[in-house]
Amino acid sequence: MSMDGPGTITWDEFLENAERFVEMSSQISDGWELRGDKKMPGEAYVARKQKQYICSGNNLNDRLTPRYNDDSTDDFDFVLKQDPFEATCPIERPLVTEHHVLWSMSYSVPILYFNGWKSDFPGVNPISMEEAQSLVHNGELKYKDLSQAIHPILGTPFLHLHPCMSHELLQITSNSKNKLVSWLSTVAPAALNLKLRCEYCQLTI
Amino acid sequence: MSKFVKFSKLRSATDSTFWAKFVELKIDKFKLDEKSISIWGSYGLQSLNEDNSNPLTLDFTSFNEDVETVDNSLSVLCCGRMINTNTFEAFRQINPEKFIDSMGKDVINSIQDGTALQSPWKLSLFLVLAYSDLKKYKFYYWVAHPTPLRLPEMYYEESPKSINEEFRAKHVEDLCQGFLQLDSRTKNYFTVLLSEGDKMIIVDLATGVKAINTSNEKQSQEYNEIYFAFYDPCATSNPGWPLRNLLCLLCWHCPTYYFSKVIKFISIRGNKAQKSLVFAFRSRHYENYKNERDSLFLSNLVGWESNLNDKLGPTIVNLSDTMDPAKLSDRAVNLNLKLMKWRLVPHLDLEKIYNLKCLLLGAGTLGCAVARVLLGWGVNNITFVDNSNVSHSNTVRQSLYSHQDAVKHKYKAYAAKDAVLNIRPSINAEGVVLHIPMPGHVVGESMLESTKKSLEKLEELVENSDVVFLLLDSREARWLPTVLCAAKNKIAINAALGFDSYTVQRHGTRNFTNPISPDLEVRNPRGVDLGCYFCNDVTQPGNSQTDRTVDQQCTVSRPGLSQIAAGLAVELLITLLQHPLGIEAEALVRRDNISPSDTDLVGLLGCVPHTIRGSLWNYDTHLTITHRFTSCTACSVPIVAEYKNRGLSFVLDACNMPNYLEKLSGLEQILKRPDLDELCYALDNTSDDDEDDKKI
Repeated sequence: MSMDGPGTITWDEFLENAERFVEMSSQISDGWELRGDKKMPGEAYVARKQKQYICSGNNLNDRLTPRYNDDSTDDFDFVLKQDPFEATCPIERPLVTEHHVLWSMSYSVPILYFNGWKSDFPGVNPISMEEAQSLVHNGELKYKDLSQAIHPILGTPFLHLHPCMSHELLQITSNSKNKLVSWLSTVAPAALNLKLRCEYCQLTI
Repeated sequence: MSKFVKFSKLRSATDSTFWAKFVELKIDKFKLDEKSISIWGSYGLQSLNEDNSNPLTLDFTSFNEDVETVDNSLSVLCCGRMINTNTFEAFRQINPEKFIDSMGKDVINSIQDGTALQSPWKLSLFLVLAYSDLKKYKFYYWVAHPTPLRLPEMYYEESPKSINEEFRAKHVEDLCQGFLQLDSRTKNYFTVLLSEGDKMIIVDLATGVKAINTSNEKQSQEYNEIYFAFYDPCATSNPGWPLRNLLCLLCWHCPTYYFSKVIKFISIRGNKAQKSLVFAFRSRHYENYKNERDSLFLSNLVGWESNLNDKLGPTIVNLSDTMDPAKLSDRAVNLNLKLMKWRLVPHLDLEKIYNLKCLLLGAGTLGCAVARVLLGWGVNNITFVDNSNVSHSNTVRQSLYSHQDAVKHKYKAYAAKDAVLNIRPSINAEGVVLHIPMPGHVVGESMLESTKKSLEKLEELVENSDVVFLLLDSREARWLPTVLCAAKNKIAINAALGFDSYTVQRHGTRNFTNPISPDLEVRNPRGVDLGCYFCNDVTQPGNSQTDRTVDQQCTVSRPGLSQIAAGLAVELLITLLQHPLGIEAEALVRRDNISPSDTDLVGLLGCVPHTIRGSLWNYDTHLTITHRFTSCTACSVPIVAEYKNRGLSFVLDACNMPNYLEKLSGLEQILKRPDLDELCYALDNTSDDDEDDKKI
């Protein structure tokens, strides 16, 4: 149980939850891993980098779809032989996302740091804070909640969800056997529509 | 289903590590070699996105030579050939159809000579045509998956089925397990046999083709069912592109079977093959199938990928953001400023600040300190002008310089430029060594040429700037820049230091159609009625360095003073830039009652004074106003008009002729007026803030 009062989670509990989370991830091979120094409170975190492809057509996806209007591509609009055997396919565009779950020493809660890039390459064509905010369904998040911040361990800019609202969420999920999973599944939709596989639910009961 | 079978195209994705490794190899190993190189590509089997197609991924391991180093059970490995042209012209001139025909010939050969039967990965050959701009980290590339165009038409014998419909559970499990156990190259294509004893056996293509041909000869069936399987990265209802070359292989090696029987294919999909589909096809009936077969192998090759714009053409990626270390620091620098915008001032126009072109005249204590505050605001264009060198006495006060700069006796303009580049590598910084012509400093014959050049350079610099900071160490050095800023209508920010007092001000704007005195009664005059540094003077600037001892010639100030004045100078600039009226904003005066709704006075970041004077002796700050003076020796209509008319000769006269500026501006006339005392009295009483306006 937590020692810092309701709505918080201790480092030990965070680490234990994180280890079970990563164990499950390796079973279902969905790519989460534990990084950093586990011996130092706050210095280890759970992370995943992922590339997805999104079809255009969907309203939500369109907002994430960059306009590839580099003039220089116009030089290369070739007309090649017609191939009758070629099926028409929907256009899919790459989206690289990175999610890190850290433990905040000052708030004693988990914090979600994330980044997204509308390209094949992490670092190229980043999703801006405004775009990330517009992706949140109810649109109620303000820059106070979702903003950019320096990743405390890596020292590079990330988007993050401010931990001040995590207290409430953790209180609601106080019966969970894995608060990290319960909390993450609640905040994930606000972080570039992160989806957790349903297998993780087993960890909470 | 009446329509013939069509195939979903493939997609590739390059990882930034692919290009990083390529750049390294290009520089160290390939150099100017344009020959094709062998590379690996793989379809990852860890992907979660089973609803979308799985791209052929190229990363840094693509260049490994040994297959052992790239082989792993969690991928399907393909071989490719890459050609990188040395020039953009060469890249553009390559005809893609000819390129794919010649480079993809290996696929045809491997089918005809039978090597593809044992080495099925030869069927999934891919080609990369690229041009790399190594300086700009810009890469053009186009990937092709060559296959013959003239495929005999195939028709659906029945609708595609999932493997769960086609097979019983045991066999589904055997298939999935069997697929995962194959080595990463064999995963591309293989044969699945159902024996008479209802056992599922996974074998290579050669064995499958042999089974077909023997059963044809003997008219008997050794196996209940023969399936040809291929890894299918596509996720649509159509079979994926890799099936085309498998069909070609079957067409060549078992033509009778191909043109007469129903052929079953397993399209292996999903990371554990669990989403695989079974297709059953039958060829169209051809009168002379041998002709079809021959023409297939004589046909052109197709298979270029479409880019992200859904056009046939190369993909262009600019990786400077990830590969150029200078750019990496940029995002971090901007973050602080963005936080200010997001959290405190949502309408802050950071673009405007970023794009601002600042000219810093003087790179001493003030120049260094101003540059640092500009860096803090994310200003991206800074030019330093100075004509002195870094000396050992400078380094402790002039915050951009190091001991090494003093040892090398570097020009301050260059040392300052190098210092800001060290702090922020992406900044656009310049250093110009230049001596500014000054009134009272006589230009002799020998200096004529250099003075001419200096003037031309300075004119050019002011012309190309948005803001000019006057941070020079003497009063007269500020005269010419003041004239130029007035003539070219540039924002001028002036900062000057005494021992423990400072003055920071913005110059007013100059409208040369209106030579009449401003209304001195207006409490908060607009930019057009505000004065310049010289508007209060009753004499023209002269040589302040004569009759002075060394200690008087240097500006000796309390060390904290320059930081304060520099901070105020930059903040004054930023405040006026973010004011809706800009430089025309009304000047704030002491003891104003400020109403936030007074938009002529209050901007986004608050109010913009004209002159800020402060003293460390009593820690007092005053906001004062100097009005535009119609007989100013620097910014009045006659002066600017004369400069515009005569340029260099005007400047020379100003430097060389005593009292020239006083005569020209009309100041001399005023001083001769018999009612001068009354006039001064009247002026003194119009503004209550003029008590400390006597400078230096």
